[in-house]
Amino acid sequence: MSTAVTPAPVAAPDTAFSRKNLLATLSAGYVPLVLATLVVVLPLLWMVLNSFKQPSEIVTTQLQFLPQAPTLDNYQAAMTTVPFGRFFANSLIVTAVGSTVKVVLAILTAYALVFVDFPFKNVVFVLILVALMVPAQVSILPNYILIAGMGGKNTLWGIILPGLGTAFGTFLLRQHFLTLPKSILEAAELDGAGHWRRLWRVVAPVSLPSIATVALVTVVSEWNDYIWPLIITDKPESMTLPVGLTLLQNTESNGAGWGILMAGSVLVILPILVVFAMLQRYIVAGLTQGSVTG
Amino acid sequence: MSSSTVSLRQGAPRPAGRRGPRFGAFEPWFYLAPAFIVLIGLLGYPIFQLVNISLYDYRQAQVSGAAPLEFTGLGNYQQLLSDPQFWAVLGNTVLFAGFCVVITILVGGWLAVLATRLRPWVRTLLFVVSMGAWATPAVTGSAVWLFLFDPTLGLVNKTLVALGLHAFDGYSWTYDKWSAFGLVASEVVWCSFPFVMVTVYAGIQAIPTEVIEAARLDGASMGQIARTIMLPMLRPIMMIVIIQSIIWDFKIFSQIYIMTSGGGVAGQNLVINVYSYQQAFAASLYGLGSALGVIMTVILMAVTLVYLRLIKKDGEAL
Repeated sequence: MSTAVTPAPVAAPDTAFSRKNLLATLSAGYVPLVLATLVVVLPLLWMVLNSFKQPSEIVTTQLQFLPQAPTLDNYQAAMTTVPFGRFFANSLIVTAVGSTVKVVLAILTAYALVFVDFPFKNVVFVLILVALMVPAQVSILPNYILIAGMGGKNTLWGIILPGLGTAFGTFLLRQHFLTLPKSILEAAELDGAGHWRRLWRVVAPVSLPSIATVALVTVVSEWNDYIWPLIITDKPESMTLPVGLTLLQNTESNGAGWGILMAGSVLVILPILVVFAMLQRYIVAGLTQGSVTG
Repeated sequence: MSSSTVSLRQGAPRPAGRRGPRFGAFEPWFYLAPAFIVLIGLLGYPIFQLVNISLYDYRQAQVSGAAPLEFTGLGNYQQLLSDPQFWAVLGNTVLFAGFCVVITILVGGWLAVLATRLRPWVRTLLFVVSMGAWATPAVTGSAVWLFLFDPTLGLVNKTLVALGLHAFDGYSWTYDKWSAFGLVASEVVWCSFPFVMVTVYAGIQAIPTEVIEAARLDGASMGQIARTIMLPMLRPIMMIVIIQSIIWDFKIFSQIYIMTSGGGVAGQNLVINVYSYQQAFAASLYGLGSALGVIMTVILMAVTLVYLRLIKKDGEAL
């Protein structure tokens, strides 16, 4: 990279603008990147474009990419045919409470698994792995009997409670804590800091990118959780957004339903992008912004 | 579950006091207790119930109490293992999930390494776009992909026909077994690679920059840096990403259920989770469905343990 400063000698094989380097850069970097981005973007773009189309433009055999007469009808329909505001508030509460509890639990447990001495550590870790592997579809029936028996049907806490039992965050943070140099903790220990201060003053601050990742993963999965809220709620007052979306799908099964569903999906995705915008400072930029990129 | 916690509690006082007597021997339990309560109550109980139900002939009549509960032992398991469809479904699941895992890890890992070299605005663009894919609920993601590949209305077929490939006029991507699996796999990779990318990227950010800078100054290429520096240091992160992908992709449900209308033509695209759901809820064979859940958990556990064994270095904790 640094050789690029000097003018490239003719036909030198390894300079910045030599054919070899150019080809290598294009094939290893930008061409696949552009392709990958296109593939990732296309379904999203299609969703957004269709959310502004009229039914006649959606159900057509013509190759038509852009909406001819952009309309907000779909958005209006999505917000009015179902109690969208209510769904939104429910999803917000479920996601905020559920994610906060999960992330704090994950930090505490992962810290104990890595930095605190206690017997049967590996047994506990394997139990957490087992917990990760139980398929949601089959634990639904026992969970339903348990929660419904406690009176949790059509309540927000009934939606939140079983979800708290995921072990994903613990797993990810444990793996990250294992990569931390032991020396920083030993220094804190010599200064007389107990576990509590070591956790929040030393381990948590240097692990912000990973904690932010766990937070992001947790928020996304809480926000998009579908099967459990679908089963534990049957009244619109306690439904979350993804479940509400299915109501949209069910109301109209023709082309109009498509546009409305797409509009609803856009509205579901937007808040996640806002959360991402808030967390990306820690994840994308990282703590050492600029020093990694050459 | 409960027996293991009892033995844990008995074992606690011995070695824990080493760290100093500020909180005494109980301190580890202060950190673990909330997680334990949640894990045992909300995971231990369903797992116990799952195993329990799988040992009974448990149908709709037994749920409503109209018929007596009949303990059948391993009868459900026997029935499954002698059913050729079960083996076909299992084979589908392993192939499909394995393919998804490999592609997801390759795409996500490669983009993460690439992202460290991109200009900040390009990187942010890549991440925002990927977040969009990640944030799309499985239900709508599947619907959009299905719509893109619709035989007559889909953008893909319309484009192919416009390019002169008339064979694709009304071509159904979900009719053939492998093209249907391919289509679903594309959607799965599409919505799951961002997790790999973001996690690996966060892991790379935690690597001391001096190490990478030094290698770069010594003339190491991006591939060399990724292979010889990043990969070994990212081992714990790669481990979670791979295990998590295995778990997610073996448990794929919504995508198959929606995109192949519940398992494809004559059940050719059934994977184990959809099959189990069909048995448990559509056919009301709760016992059989639970047995399938248990089998799947055991398989996942075996795959994970083998993987952990393979990457474990000598003398290192799990």
